[in-house]
Amino acid sequence: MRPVYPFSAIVGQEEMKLALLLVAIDPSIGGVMVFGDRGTGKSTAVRALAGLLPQMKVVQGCKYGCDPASSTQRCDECAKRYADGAHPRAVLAAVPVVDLPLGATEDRVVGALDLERALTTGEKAFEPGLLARAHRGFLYVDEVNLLEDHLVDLLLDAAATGENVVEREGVSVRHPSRFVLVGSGNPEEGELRPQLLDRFGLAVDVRTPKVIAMRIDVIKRRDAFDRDPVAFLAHWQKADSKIRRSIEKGRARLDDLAVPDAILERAAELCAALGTDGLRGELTLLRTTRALAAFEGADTVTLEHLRRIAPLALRHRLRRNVLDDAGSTTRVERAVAELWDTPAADVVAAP
Amino acid sequence: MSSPRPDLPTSLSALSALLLAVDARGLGGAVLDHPVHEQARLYGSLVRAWLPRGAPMRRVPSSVTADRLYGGVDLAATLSAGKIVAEKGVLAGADGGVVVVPMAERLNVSARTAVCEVLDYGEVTVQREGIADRHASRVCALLLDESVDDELVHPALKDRLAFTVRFDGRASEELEWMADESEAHHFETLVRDARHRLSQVSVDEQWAEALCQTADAFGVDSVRATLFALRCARAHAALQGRLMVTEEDAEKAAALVLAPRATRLPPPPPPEEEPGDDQQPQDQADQDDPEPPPPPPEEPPADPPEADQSPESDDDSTQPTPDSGELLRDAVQAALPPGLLAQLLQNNTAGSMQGRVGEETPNMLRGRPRGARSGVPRGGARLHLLETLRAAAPWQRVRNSAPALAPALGAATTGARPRVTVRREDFRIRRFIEKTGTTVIFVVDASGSSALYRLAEAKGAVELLLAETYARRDRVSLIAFRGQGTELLLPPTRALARAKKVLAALPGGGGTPLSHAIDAALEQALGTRRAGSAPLVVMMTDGRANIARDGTPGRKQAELDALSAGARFASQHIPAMFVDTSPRGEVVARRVAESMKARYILLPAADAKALGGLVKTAMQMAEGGG
Repeated sequence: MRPVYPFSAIVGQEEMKLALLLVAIDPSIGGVMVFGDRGTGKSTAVRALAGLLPQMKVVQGCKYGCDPASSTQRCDECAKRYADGAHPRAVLAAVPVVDLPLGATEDRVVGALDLERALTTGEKAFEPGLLARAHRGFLYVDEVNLLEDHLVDLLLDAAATGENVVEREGVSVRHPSRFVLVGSGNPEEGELRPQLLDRFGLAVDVRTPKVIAMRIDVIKRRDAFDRDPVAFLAHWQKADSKIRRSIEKGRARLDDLAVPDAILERAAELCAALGTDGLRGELTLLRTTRALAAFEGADTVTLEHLRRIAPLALRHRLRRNVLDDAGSTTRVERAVAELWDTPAADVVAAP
Repeated sequence: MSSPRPDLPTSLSALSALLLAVDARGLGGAVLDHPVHEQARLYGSLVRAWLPRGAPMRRVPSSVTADRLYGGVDLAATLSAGKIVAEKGVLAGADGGVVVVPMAERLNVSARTAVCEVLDYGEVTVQREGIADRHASRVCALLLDESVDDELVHPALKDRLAFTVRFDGRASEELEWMADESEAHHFETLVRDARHRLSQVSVDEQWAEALCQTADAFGVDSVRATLFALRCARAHAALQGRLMVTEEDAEKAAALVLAPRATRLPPPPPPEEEPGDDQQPQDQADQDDPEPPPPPPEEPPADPPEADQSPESDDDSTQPTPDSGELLRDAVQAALPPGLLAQLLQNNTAGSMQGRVGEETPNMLRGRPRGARSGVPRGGARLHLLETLRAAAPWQRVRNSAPALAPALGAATTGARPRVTVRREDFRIRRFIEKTGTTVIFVVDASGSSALYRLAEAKGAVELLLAETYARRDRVSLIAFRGQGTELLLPPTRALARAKKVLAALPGGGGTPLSHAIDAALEQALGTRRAGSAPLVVMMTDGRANIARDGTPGRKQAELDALSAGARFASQHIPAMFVDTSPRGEVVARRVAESMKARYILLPAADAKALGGLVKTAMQMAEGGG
């Protein structure tokens, strides 16, 4: 295992870090798309997140990592086990953060017939692919804008249905595949397919830090990590576990947090003002706002939370003047200011 | 500057080979800028010779297939073993050694990302054809940049390599000298000692900070670059036998790593405040991939480089250690490659080096690999081994229990019972989807006459068409013409945001070299066709040609030339539209359009929607008939 740079040691890039933490708290927000310059630590942040996530419970022996607590999302085998009245043990496992390399082939993404077993024992067994491995975790695609269209189709399909259906070479398998899609890419090198962009709950822009002191910090830390990863990890361990605990707390809190109707109305109002298509924007706004409130330990969801995450959740959903992708953040912020800058006492609840 | 060791090379290029051998992993490798074959070979073999003994050296041709790059199924072993046997790819095979990529500008997308991954993590992840694996691949990559015109080594790759090496006379001489047998032992020992020393070399914070500031001053945004500079300084110190990075090390690092990446000159030491204030925001707006900033470009730092060396220049307060930053600046400036310096001085960022991204050639063969289908591998169709085995697998029991029923195509022909019985009906062949889609080549007249009539409106029309191509995920390419010639503003790309920016920054003025423009369009269209995409040329001009083919002004000859260029264009049957941007339509324009067999449209008559519709039908035509 190569040592993973600690999440807490990442300098700046607050928005990207926040987006990743929010989807870790509530995976139903959808994925995160990270747009940005080269060498800004996009991949580093995603890999760092893997080292940070609290472990999850899985059904022992299940190759798809089924959740013992969920009765709806089970693979065929687990469904059968439970139907037979068995009570499989639950064990702890690391949340998967799976890389999808651009050079991957279809059979490795969706899974295929296990050739070795087929040839040696004549058994038709299924060898799970990356979609299976990413279940309940994260699927990371660097340079996602360069991903082959047919692989994108596979991702879209799984992301839409939450399961992976394989019908090939006489294998017929269906298994749950719910994952948080994290993509990164530089829009200068190719546009992202609109359908795929739409799948991402949140979008962040990362830029090279312009403050020199910050850049100095970046390279000092990176250098320290490269030279002595063990000591570096030890130094940041405490900060990392603190973040881990706040993810855990945030998750626990999530169910108890209701979003007041007033906030829902505001979210709808914002979406209408920006002309975002469909319900997905509103839904993402709602979930992300709640996740933020949960993460910060707030008792209620306030307009302030909504305001802070609005650019994250909406900037990639504006009806695109394709040629004007700069400034979408500004457009969201402007709409927010126009709508809400005359303070409405009824929604600004006490913290 | 402290006196350098006499036994070390003085040219930066020769020095870089030593540094790479000292810290191959940390520095990633180098882009060799248009080397002569011998120079590249020499450089590579030197680095390899200085690496720990037995270091492999592998070449990655730009045509490399994914299975060879990542590793794939070992055909013979798989058949004889009856289970998948993986074979290491080139990248894994080069672990601990040198990877040489000739014609790096032609490297396809998937190969490029694989190389990037290897440089980032020292590992290659295989997720292909039934194999999920991970191999160590700690390599030093040497990318041979042999580009002409608009193809460039991809910035993502360049970003991950510390050096750009140019071979001038002195560098070549020194490389020869270092390769001399009598010196071999000396340098090998030198590098080995340095490698051992490397982990103990400490860097004073002031140098780390100075390198960051210098990077910033020269518009080097990538954090990787600064990190490389730091590592380079450390490797240099180790090479010099020091345990502490000194000024000389930092200077060499700045010159080697930062200078080739410079995108601007540092603002001159500000005697007055005004210009400095103007400049700041502009600088900050510039990103790592600088697109031409909109016309009033940041104030050109008109001063020759010496201006910065003036000792009395006091730096602004944001820099805690002004003197060290200043020293490095001079080092960078002295090392700026001549062409780059001129470019920075002119601040001519339109079509600058960073702006152009070598377009992805989408695939390994022709079209996108798209699974397999049953069929017999002949007539150029290639067997998809894995899928064939998968198809055969379920039948093995049945077949092997009754081997005599049909002549089996076994793996083993020696008479032993074949482990896997494969029959004709199992054969699967690779399927590719031929890349369809259109590349719309916009040829925009930016001459004086056109600027008078509405260059702005022409731009608007192009934007509309761009929106149309976006919806269809087509590619666009932009050619502008004015004055004496044409300029390829944008090679075929899907990044329309960039097309838009390039277009917005397009200045107008000058003559109308229409014949050149038609030639350029033809050339680009043929290139597009060769690459497997259907070209559609959209000319936007008022047709008032006034520069002849030989560059002389004169309306008459210019028009004749344009007509003959048009005839040549027509002979290739390339679908084209000719949008006349003059207010009432020019007779000449119509005639040129006819000569090109292009569809003639008068812009004023074509409102936005109509124009979009026309392009749509033209594209369908292009695809159908291309």
